[in-house]
Amino acid sequence: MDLIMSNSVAMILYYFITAFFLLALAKNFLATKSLQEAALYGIIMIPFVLRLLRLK
Amino acid sequence: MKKNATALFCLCLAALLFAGMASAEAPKLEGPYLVTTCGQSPGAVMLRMSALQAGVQAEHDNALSAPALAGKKAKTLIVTAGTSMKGMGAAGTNVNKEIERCTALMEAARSAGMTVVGAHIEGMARRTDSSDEASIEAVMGAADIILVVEDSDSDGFFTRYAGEHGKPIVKVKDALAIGNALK
Amino acid sequence: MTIRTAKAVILLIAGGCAAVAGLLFKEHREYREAVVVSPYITEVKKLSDYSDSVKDSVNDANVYIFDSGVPGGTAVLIGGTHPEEPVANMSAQIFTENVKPLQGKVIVINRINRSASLGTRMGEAYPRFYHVKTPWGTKKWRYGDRVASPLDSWPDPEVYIHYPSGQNLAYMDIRNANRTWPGRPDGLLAERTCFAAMELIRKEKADVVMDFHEAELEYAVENTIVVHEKGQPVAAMASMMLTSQSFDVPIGMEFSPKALHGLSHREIGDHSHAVSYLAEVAEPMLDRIRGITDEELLMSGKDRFVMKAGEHKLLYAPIDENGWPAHKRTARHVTTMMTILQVHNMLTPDKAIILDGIPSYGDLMDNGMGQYFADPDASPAERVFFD
Ligand SMILES: [Zn+2]
Repeated sequence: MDLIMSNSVAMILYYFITAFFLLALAKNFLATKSLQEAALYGIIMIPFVLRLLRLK
Repeated sequence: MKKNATALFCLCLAALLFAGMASAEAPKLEGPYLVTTCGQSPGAVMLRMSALQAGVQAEHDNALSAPALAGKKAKTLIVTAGTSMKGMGAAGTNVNKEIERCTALMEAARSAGMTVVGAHIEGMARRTDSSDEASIEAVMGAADIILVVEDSDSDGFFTRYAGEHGKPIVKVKDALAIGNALK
Repeated sequence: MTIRTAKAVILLIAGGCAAVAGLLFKEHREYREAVVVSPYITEVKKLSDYSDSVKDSVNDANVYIFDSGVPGGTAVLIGGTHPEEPVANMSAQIFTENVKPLQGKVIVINRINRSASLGTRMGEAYPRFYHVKTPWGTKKWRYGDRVASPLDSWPDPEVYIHYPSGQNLAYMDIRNANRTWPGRPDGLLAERTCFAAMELIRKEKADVVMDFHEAELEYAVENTIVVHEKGQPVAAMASMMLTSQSFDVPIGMEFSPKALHGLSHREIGDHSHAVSYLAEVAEPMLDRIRGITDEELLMSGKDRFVMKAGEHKLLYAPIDENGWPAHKRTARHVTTMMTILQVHNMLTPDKAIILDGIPSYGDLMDNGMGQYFADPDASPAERVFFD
């Protein structure tokens, strides 16, 4: 497999990882009973969303 | 107070006189020239190009060593001081090896009856670090005559040095003006 | 307020932040810079016309070709290698918009690493755009990063092994268009970009290649021309002439190290018949010790913290309360290129490249840059291109 192909596959895998962590964060966000934790999860989710949408 | 001022004035006058004498004493530089660098900075290339456009014969070799002097017909050896990390890296050398090569070279040139000039012609940009300092110290120490551009001497370092060590100094406006000074 | 409502509020606020940030990022990434080419344009090609390696990629840059029709040499000007050095692409664009070739040919790329100009450096709070006042209004450019965007080239290797030297370089330098020369057709984005540019240089039989940059004052290689050994006499003469006749702050010269790979001044000279030059000018915005990081600093080059460092002799370039304004930096680059050509023409008259229409150092210092950029809205559509 050439370099461009393998790099593209790795990049796609990275998006799956990003999606996975976003889902995990969302799940924690929904489950938590602490307001502070909820706020924290809310902020942390922002870069994951932006990366998934290929904005940054 | 007044006494002090008078003393200072006298001192200034003496310094001026001395400076005047020093430059009057400066032997006329005579070609053909042989140019090298102590620190692999582009000064030697610049010097040769400046000479070339003024119609002065100058040969340049950044790795010139004492044994290689034998076959040369030059009357004056010019060694430019100031170092380039990029240049020394590219040539696989360092400032200590450069100083060793150049001091031996300058010694050999003097024994062969050549005039030895220590030059600093790339301005303050080559007076920044300890390598520059070491190269300047070594080259100027072994030189008969000092050649600098105004920017290199903008803090008066070379003028002071020449005065302290009783060496004639030739100061030109900039690197481009060196060619005419070598005529 | 229940925890549910609180979470909804949090989600709304975070979502709002993401939306605002996303829109700002999107605007930056999608903004296209208008270029009004000079009336003497011969042809506008794409980098992919020289190699398929960048076809359909974000780095398929415009290649502006100005051929005098009179036999002579060929010069290639590269801007935008590091888009956090804005004077590099502006200097190139001064040529694109004003040049009138009298002999030989000049080829300009304003934005060689476009991807790097589509987002700013993460964590640095850079401004997204910068502006220049012109007689017809304000002209706007994208400010960027040093390396290609991770959206376009990802992931980076653990260690970047430079091709073909095998030298180990830092991982992010595989996105750095001044560490990926001479490139390869099957490498990552920056490697493919440099390969295509290398193909251009070879196919157009370029004699002179200039790569414009800017550097922090804390960096030793500053206000200088870095040159391949093939161009030593030209660079030496040019730097002496510029220091003597044009510039207030001298411009020096550095030899391109033989063992440092991936850089344009080394690899272009090694892998083509061209002589490669790289010009550096002081950009206080890039200094680590700078103060407020905004467009004002970028364009005026005034910073009291950098000045303070200068007082303590920690810098490799002088700076005072006048700073290093962008028009002065541009004037230096443009004049450096013109002087290098002048010396090149003297030493190799059969390969002469004679250019007219380019403002002098004095012109740019007196008038600023604005009047050398044309109004895209008032220009004939066939002369307007977008980078
Ligand atoms: Zn750069």
